[in-house]
Amino acid sequence: MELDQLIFQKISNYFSKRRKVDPAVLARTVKLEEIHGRLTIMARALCGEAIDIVTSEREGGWKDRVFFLPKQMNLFPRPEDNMLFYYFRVFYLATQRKLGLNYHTAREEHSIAQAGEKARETSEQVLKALFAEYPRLENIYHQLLDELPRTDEKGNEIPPDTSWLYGRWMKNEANAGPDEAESISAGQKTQEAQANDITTTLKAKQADEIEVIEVDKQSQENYTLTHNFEKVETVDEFNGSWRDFDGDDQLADESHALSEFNLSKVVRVDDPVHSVYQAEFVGRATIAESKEQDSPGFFLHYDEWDYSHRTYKHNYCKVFPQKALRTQPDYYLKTLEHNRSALLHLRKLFARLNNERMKQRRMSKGENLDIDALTDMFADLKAGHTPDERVYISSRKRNKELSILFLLDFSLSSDGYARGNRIIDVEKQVSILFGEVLNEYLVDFQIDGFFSKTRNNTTYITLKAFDEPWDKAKMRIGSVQPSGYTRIGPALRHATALLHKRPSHNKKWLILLSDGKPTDYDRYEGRYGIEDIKQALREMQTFGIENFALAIEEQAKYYLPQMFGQNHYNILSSPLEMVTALAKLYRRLMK
Amino acid sequence: MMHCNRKEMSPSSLFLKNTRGRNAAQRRFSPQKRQSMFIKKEPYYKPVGREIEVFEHAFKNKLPILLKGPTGTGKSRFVEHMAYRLQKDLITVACHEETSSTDLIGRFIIKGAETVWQDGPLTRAVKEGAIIYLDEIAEARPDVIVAIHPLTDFRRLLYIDKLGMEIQARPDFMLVASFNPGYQKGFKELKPSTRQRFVSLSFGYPQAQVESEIIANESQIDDATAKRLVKIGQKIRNLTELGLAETVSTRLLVDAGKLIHTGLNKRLAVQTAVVEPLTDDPDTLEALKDMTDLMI
Repeated sequence: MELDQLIFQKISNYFSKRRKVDPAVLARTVKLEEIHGRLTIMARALCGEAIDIVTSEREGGWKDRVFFLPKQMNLFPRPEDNMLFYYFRVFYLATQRKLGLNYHTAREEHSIAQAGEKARETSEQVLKALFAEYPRLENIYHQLLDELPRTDEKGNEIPPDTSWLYGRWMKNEANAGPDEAESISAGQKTQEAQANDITTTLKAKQADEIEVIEVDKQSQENYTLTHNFEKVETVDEFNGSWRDFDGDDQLADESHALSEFNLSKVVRVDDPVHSVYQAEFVGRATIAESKEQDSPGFFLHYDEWDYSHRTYKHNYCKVFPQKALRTQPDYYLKTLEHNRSALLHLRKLFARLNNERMKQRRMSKGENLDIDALTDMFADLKAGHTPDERVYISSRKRNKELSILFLLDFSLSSDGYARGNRIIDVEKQVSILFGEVLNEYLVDFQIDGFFSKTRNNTTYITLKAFDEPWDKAKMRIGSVQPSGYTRIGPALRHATALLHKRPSHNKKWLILLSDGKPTDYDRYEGRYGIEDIKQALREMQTFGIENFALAIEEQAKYYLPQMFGQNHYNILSSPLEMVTALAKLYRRLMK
Repeated sequence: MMHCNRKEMSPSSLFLKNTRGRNAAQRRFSPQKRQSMFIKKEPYYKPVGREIEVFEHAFKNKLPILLKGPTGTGKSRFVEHMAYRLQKDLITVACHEETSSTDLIGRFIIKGAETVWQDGPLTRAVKEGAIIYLDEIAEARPDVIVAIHPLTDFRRLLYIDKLGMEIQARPDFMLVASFNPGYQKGFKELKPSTRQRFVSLSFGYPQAQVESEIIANESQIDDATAKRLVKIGQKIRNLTELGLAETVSTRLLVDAGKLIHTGLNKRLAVQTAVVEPLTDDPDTLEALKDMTDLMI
């Protein structure tokens, strides 16, 4: 760090520490993150679509399926009113969205002030519709309007800032075409990036409209210092001059400068990183589509569903089926050791289930008498009929006509933690425990996993194939490490094909263990991804294959139901719960 | 070799349980009570489409009917209403996991030193020419489906294996079944071969106008409140795909209306009759409570 930076930092620290927040303000502040879940559900109920709620720079607005709301609110004197403000905004935005009041094409240029002006102009129309539909909001609106502060910090009179109530207009982007194809070389550099540890993570300031621009390699190479007194290291808004990317970890040093900085343009690069500057944004970042690429090795083509055109993109995705070869016996043994009680529990459950199942009534011989049959026999005898002699209960073993495929999500998101458990470990441990028991009870099952890197590369790893002995396969499960993204569609389609090959009289189930959120480097996010998965699940049903999803991340409740539908998913918090849930599911399958 | 483990229960306790069950069954279907199956007062039913016409034609043509739809959309009420319109006896059987063909067809029971054959509800309906309504038929054991198959096609026959006889259904016998397609999808479904034997009617949530009329009529509340309840219902129904397992039925809204009518605070009524029955998830509960508070 340079001397001038150091001095600036010290001074800035000194002042920021001195700036105290009034405890009264703190007490009445309502933070968006605390009520985020609630507002999301509310917005979804009001709009009937999968609306997401995102923090905005200031007053916010709506864009496609996203509502932007302020990070926190303390303008109103009581906490209830600050809360009401959020409710009011959700209702208001839902109405505004219904009326379609927004900038519709990306070409309509506007400044922030203009966007605010536009929102004010149309507020009357929105309010009219709002009060007509929800009469109670009229009082709330007037109350909020009255309570907007009319003095500034110094006590001077100012007009109330109504932009908080009306928000501002935003640009819709859903219809932006996929014309700007971008070539992505998922090459060595990206892998390098994943291998390198990330040492610093910083959260970015909220920015509503971020644009993804392409790297202009030419200007980057041509870049020279254009000014004699320009500093080499500085944080500045992008003004068209390109510099080189180096991927050094300097983020911690620059954090102060960054906190003053507005994010408005981003690029996509392959350089390895050491620092993460986290920004929450939606927009055209996901539009880029990758070009067809030649790939070495054996692969299969699968279609992908494009919901906006309601057609399939034929042979759009490549799936590389692989067999896991590396083994990690340690992992297997440790899992058994650490989860001894869970395994015991599972064994008991299965034993009970199987006893229940294997009991066959009305047999001509068996260990136990069937009381119902005996009563009937007695009644028949009394009535003068020839009684049925099959009065025994037998516990003959029956073959379970069931094929289960476990599909694990090995993408990088499984590297995260949910309630103190590393997601991928939960996935692996649960499949080991389950494999152990299913193997004992001779159930036909397979354990696979997947991750993706663009449509050109979905890796589908088979850990245990249907016809493979468990004793060999169980050692492999520990060896998988998270990597890549979550393009669930192609993996589901491949799994469907595998299940379809099993004997046709079997009941077939696919069980997905994932956070369920579709993501990929190229445009497999939000609605597009969800619709593709839905379509893949529909295809599965036509083959007579049923599905179920299990997730351990809380957030999953906002998107799993959209894809899997009621009764076909479960969100859990620990491996033990997951084991129990799976056992319960197994019981339902057997019935 | 014979032994009884504890889970099986001792023969006497099981027998006791059985007799109790049978007494109850006997009571329910004893001849003295037969009158009660006849519906004297017209049950309120507001048609949402041309379902009444369909039902009447199916009845004329001796075709069985399958009512599909989520809970609380008026399937059972519709059947009652039709039974009243057609002036027929109605026998309702709520099917569950343990409902077997014996429960429907009948069984021998022991009275003193004799055995007596006791007709089940289906046999009685076939003999007497009544409407039998099998509610949630997909829940019942598979042998129930087997038992009704010959009744649902041109044969209209009921086989009673225990008596070694078959009964031709009376011309005015009608079979109605209901089935909730969303619930237990994949786990318990009707086979296509079964479904194709029925004329099927889909029941959904009624249009706003119709629904508010139903609520106003059933609960005696004013029109404006009924409309607001309907609006609440519609908004919450938006969440079906987004995580609510079962959503607001007209029945729930009617319940809320009834509570409001007898003087319970409106918001409390909606909260307890509509929101709380739907979910236990704290976030969803809070969100729905706050939203409904703002809407009524």
